[in-house]
Amino acid sequence: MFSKLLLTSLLAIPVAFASFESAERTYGKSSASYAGSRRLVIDLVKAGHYYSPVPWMKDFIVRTDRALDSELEGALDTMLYHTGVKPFEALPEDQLRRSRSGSIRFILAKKLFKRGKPQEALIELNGVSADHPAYPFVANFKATIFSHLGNFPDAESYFRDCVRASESRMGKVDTVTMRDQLEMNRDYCVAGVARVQFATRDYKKAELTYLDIEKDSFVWPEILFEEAWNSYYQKNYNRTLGKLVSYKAPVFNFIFRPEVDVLKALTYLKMCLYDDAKKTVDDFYSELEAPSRELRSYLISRGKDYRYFYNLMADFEDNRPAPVPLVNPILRSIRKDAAYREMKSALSAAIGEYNELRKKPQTAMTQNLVKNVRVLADEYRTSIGAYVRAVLVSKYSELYTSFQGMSYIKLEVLAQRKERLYQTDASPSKKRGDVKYIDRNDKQYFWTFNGEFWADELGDYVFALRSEC
Amino acid sequence: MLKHLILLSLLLPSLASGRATLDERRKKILAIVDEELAEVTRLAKQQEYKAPETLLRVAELNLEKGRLFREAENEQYLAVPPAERMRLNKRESFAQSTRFFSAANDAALVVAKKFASYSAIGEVYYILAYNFKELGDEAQARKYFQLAVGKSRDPKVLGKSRQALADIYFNDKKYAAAIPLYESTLKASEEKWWTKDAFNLAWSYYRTRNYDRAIALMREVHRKSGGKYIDMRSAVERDIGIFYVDANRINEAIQFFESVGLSYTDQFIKIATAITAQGRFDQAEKLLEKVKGIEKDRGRRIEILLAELNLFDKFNRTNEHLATARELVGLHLKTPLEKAQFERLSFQVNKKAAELQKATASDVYDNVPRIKQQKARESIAYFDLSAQLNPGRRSEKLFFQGETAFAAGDFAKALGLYVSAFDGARTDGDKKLLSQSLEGMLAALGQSALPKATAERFYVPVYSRYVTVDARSNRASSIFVKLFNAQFDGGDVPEAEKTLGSFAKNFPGDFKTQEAMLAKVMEHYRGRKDYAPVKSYVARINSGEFKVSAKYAEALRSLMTKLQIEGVQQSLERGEKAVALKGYHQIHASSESTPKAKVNAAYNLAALYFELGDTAQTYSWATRALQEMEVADVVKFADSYLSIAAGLFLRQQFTPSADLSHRLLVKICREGSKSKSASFKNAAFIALANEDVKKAIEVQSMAATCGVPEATATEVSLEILKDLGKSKQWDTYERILRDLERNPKNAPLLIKPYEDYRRELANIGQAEEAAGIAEKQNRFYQQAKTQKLDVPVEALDLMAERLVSAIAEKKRQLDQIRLSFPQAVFETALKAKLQLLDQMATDVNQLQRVGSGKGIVEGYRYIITGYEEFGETLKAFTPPEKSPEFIESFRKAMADVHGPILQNARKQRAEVRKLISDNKILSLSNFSVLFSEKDVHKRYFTQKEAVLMDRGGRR
Repeated sequence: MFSKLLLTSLLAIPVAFASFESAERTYGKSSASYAGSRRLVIDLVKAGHYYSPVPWMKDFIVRTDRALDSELEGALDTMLYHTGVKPFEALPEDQLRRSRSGSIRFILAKKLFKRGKPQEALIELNGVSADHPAYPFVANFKATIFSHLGNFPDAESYFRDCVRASESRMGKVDTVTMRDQLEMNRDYCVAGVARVQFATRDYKKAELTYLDIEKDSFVWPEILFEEAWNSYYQKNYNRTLGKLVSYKAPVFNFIFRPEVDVLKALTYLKMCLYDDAKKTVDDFYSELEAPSRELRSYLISRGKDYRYFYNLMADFEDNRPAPVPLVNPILRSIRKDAAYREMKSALSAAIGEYNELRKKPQTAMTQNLVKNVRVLADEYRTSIGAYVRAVLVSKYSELYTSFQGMSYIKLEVLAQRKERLYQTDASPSKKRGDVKYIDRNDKQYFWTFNGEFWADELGDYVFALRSEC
Repeated sequence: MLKHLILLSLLLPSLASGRATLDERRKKILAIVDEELAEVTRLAKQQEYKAPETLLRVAELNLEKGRLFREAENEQYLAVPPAERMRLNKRESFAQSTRFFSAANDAALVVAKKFASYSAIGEVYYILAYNFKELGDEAQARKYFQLAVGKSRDPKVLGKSRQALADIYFNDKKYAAAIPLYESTLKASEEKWWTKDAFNLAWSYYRTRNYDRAIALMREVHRKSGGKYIDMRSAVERDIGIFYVDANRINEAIQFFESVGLSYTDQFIKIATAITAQGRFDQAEKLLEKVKGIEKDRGRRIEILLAELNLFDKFNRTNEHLATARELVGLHLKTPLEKAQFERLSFQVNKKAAELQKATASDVYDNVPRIKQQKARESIAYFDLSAQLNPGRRSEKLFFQGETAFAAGDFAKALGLYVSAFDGARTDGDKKLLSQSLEGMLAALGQSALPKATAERFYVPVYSRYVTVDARSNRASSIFVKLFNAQFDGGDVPEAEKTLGSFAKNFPGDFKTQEAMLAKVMEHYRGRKDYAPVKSYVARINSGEFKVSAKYAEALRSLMTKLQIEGVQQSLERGEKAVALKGYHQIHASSESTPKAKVNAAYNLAALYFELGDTAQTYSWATRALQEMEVADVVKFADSYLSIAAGLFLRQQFTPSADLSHRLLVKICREGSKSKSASFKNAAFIALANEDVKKAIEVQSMAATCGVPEATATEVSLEILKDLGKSKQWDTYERILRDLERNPKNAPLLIKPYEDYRRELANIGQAEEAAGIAEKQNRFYQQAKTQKLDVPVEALDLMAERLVSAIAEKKRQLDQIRLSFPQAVFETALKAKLQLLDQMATDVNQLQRVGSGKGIVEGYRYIITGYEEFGETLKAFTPPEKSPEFIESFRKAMADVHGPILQNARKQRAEVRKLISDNKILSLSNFSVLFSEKDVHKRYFTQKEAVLMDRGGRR
C-alpha cells in the first residue's frame, strides 16, 4: 500500500506558480553561474518545490566556498523544514561548516556527536538562535549532550527549555506533521527531564515527571518501560510489574521490547519469587530463542541490501508479512517510530512533488527537476531501508543482550535456591497478593490487574505480591 | 574445542549414574547445579563461547559438583570399617569427584589459554591452582599459584594465592622464596591465622639462618597467641629453644623458659629429642651433657639419662647406650624408678636386646663374624639387664640369650643357656618356655658346627630333659632313640636299658625301634658271651613285655639257631668232621632246636656224608633236607643238590640220583631257578638211563607246569621217543609225536622220528598211513627249508635217499639200452643213453641242494659209473659185419664221443673227491667214488650194532 499508493497518490501541495516561472527563466539564462543557481534554488523553494532543488542546493553548498547569504539560508531552512535533515547528512563536515543555517549546524552537530565530539557539537548547536524553527530540537539535542557528559543540571535546564520552546512553537506551525513533531519533541524532553532525575537517583521526582507525559502521547508507550525501571529502583516491584503488564495490552501490540520480560524476570528475582522469575526466563527462551537465531541468519543473509529492507517494509505496510516471523513485530514497531514516520512522510512529499512536476510542460528545467526528485526519492528509500535494517539489527542486539540477561537472572535464581539448600531449607508461605505491599503516590491510580486491559488503566496496574526474600 | 568442552561438562553423569550415594539435600543441590550448567551452556552458546567469565562459571560449577561428590565420597569412605577400607581402591572411591575436578580444571585451563588478558585471569589461575592442589598435583598447583600472584587484581585472591604459595614453598623447604610471600601476606592481614603464618615465617627465617629475626618473630607469635589469634604458644615453646640453641643464646633460652614458667631441663630434653630427629646428634648430646652438668634433681637426671638413651639409640651408639642403660639399671636397683621412667628404660633395654639379637640373626654380618659375635655379646648383656629389671622373667631372658648365642653360632654357649632356661622354666611351671628352650637345645645339638665332644657332652642332659616333657610324640620317639644311643655309646648300658624300657612303655607299637634297641642290648651281651641276659630278653619278648614284629621274632629264632649251630660250625671249620657230624645229629634230634636249625643240620649232614662218600646217608639226609627246607632255600642250594644227585649217579646210584633230581624238580617246579632245566633234564635222562621210560615220561609231563623252556622239553621228548621206538610203544610214540608237531618249529626235528614210525607202519602193511607220513615228512622238509630251520643230518640223508632212488632208476634204464647195428639202431641207442645221462646230471645237481653228504656221494656214484660204463662200452664197440675201413672210420668217429664222456667221468670223480674232503662226508659210498674198480683198494666192514656201551654206561 505504502510504496505504490505513494507513487500514484495526488497530494494537495500548494504551488507558487510565479516563482516556478521565475525559476524557469533563471534556469534558461544562467544556470551555471553562482548567482543564477542561487536564484534558481530560492525561486523553486519559494514556488513550494522543496525536494526537486535539493541536489542543486547540495551542489551549491559544495561548490561555493563562501558563507550562505541570509536569503539563501532562509530557503535552506525552509527546505530542511520539509525534507528533514537526512538528504544533507551525507555532506562533508567542512562544507557543512560554510553554512550558518541553524539546520545545517544541527546536521553538523549530529555528525560531530556521532564522531564522539560532544563539545564541538555543542559549539555548533550554540550557534543556533533561540528563534530558529529548529530550536526546540536543538535544545533537546543540547540537553542530551549535556546528559551524556554527565552535566545533569544543564541537561535538565535544556530539556525544560526544549519543553517550553516546543510548546511555544506548536501553535505557530502550519502543518499537523510539524505540530506532531514538536509535540513529540516536547514529550521526549519531559522524559529527558525525568531521565536526568533518574540518573541523579531522584526516583521520586522522576516518577512524578514521567507522569507528566500524557498517556495519549506518542512516546508514552516507551516511557512506560522507563517508569517501570524507576519503580524498580524505588523497590516498588509490584508497580514495576503492573507497568510491565500494560505491554500485554492489545493496544501495545506494536511494541517489541525484549527488555520488558527481562525487567519482569529481574523484578521477580528481587522479590525472591524464583519460580516466577525462572518461568519468565524459560518462557522467554522458549518463545524467542529459535526465532532470534532465525533473525540472525536472516540478517546475515540479507547483508546491507537496503533496498531489500525498504521493500520489506513497503510490503509490510502493504499487509504482506515478512518471511521471518520475528521481523513482523519489529516492523510493526518501526511503523510507529517517529524517525521512520518522518522519512516516510518526506518520501511521500517528494513523490507528490515528482507527480506535480511530471504534469508540467516538460521543459529542460522540469525534466531536470523530475530527475532530481527521482534521485532524492531513491535516497529516501535507501535511508528507509538502512533505517529498517538498523532497527532490526538493534532489536536483534537487544534480544541478544536480553538472552544473556535472562540467563544471568536464571543463574541468579538457581544460585539463590542453591544457597538456601546449602543453608536451611525454610520455604516461605505461598500467600500471594496483598494490598499492604503496594506503594503509590498521589498521581497514581491503584488498579489491580484482573486480566482485562482498559485504556485508561494502562500504566496504572499494580501487583500485590509479597516478597519471598 | 570450547564448545566440546562445555558440552562434555553437561554430559558428565551426576545424579543418575552417581556411584556415591547422595543424600536428598545434595541431590537437590546437584540438580540445581546441573540446571546451572545447562543455563551456562546456553549462555556460552549465545555468547559464541567468547565470554571468559561464562567459561569460568563452567569451571566453578564443575568444581562445585566435584566438591559435593567429594563430600559424599568422603563420608562413604570413612563409613567403611578400617580393615575393609585398607582393601579399597582409593582412586576408585573418589573417581566421581576427581572427574568433576578434572572437568573444572579443563574448563579453567581453556580460559587461561584462550583469554590470557581476561581481567579476572588471576582468579582463574587461583581456581586452577586450588584445583590442582585438590587433585594432588603439587607442581601444577605451584605454577598456577605463582601465576595468580602475578596476575590477580583482587586483593583477596592475591592474598590467598600468596599465602598458598608461601605454604607450598615452605613445605618444599624453599624458605627464601617463602619469606617475601609470608611477609607481604602478614602485612596485609590481621586475620586469626596471622600467628600461624608468622610461625611459618619465623621457621623460614630460622631455616635461612636469620636467627635473630626468627627468635624475635617467634616471641611476637608467642605474645600475640590467644585472643583473636590462633594459639601457637605451645608450638613456639616447643621450637624456640632450638632457635636459641642454634643461635648459641642458651642463657636467653633459659631466661625465656623461666619467664614462661617452663622447666628448661624439660625443654632442653625436648629440644634434644627434636634435633635428634633431625640427625643433629652431636648438638643434642652436648645439650644433654650441659644440662646434666647443671641438673641435681634425681628425677630430672634420670630424665636426662633416658633422653640420652634415646639419643644413643637413634644414632646407634651401642656402647654409650649400654653404659647409660647400666647406669639407669643401677639407679633402679637402688631405688625403683617411676613407672613411666621404668617403662621407658625397659623399652629401650628390651628393644636394644631384640634389635641386636635380630642383627645377630640376620645374614648381614655373616662375612664379619667378629661383628656378629660382638652384637651377640651386646644383646646378651642387654638381656641380662632386662632380667635384672624383670627378675620374674629371668628364665625367658636366659632363653633369649640362648637364642642369641645360637644365632651367633656359639652353640655350646647356647646349649648351656637353654639348659638353664629349661630348668628355670620347669621351676616356674612355664610350659611354653619349657618347650621353646627344648627346641633350642635340640636345634643347637643338631648343628654340624658344634664340636662332637661338646655335642656328646650335651646329648644325655638334653635328651633326658626332653623325654621328661614329651614322651609320646613322634619326636619323642626319635629322641628316645638318640638318648638310648647316647647312653649305649657312652657305655651306660643299664641306663640305655631303662630308656629301652621307657620307650617300650610309651611306644608299644613301635616294633622296629624296640627291635633295634633290643638287638643292640642283646648283641652287647652276646658279644660278652653272656647268654643269660640274651635268653632273658628272648623270654621277655616271648612273654610280650617287648612287642616285636613277626620278622624280628623270626630273627630272634635265627639268633637262637645261630647260637645253637655256632659251636658245630666252629668244629667243622677246624676240620673236626666227626665232632661236627655228632653236633649236627644232636641239633637235628634236639627238641629245643629251631626248625631252621634242624633243616640246617640235615643239609649239613647230607653235605658231610657226601664228602665222606656215604651215598646212602647222603641220599637219606639230602631228601630229608630237601623235604624240610623252604623252597627259597632250596632254590639257593639247588646247585648243591644237583651236585649231590650227579655224585650219586656217578657212583652208579641211578635210582637215588633220579629220585633226588625228581624231588628237586618238584620242589623248585614253580620257582624261577636256573637249575630248573638242569634238574628237569637230569631227572628225565637219568630215568631213561635207568630204562625207566615211564618215570621219564612222568618227569616230561611236568615240563609245562614247571615252566621248563620248550627247547629243553622238546629235547627230552625226542630222547624219550628213541626209547619208546626201541621198546615199540608206538601209541605213546605217536602221542608224543603229535604233541611235538603242535609247534611248527619242531617240523625238521620230527622227520627222522616219523621215518622210524613210517617204516614200522610199512612193515606191518599200513602202506597208506606210511605214504601219508612220507608226504608229511616231505612237507616238514619243505617247511623247514622255507622257514630256514636247521634240519638234522639224518633227516637230510633221508630226503636225499628219496632223490637217489630216482637216479638209480635212470641208471638201471641206461644199463638196459644195448648198443647194436644197424647204424640207425645204434644211433638211437646212443642218443637215448646220452639223454638219460643228461637227466641224471640234472638230478644230481638237485640232490646237491638237499645238503646230505651221503646222498651227494651216492648220486655221484651213479652218474660216474654211468659215464664210465657208457664210455667204455662205446670204446669197445665194433660194428658187426663191416669193412675194416668202415670200422676204422667208425672208431675214429666214436673216439670223439667216448673221449669226452670218459673225460667227464674223471672230472666228476675229482669233483666228488673234493666235496668229500671239504665237507668231511662220511658215507658208505665214499669208497666207490673215491676209487675206481681199477684201483685195488681193500675195504673193511664191522659187525652190525657194534656198540660198546649203552647210555647208562652199563654195556
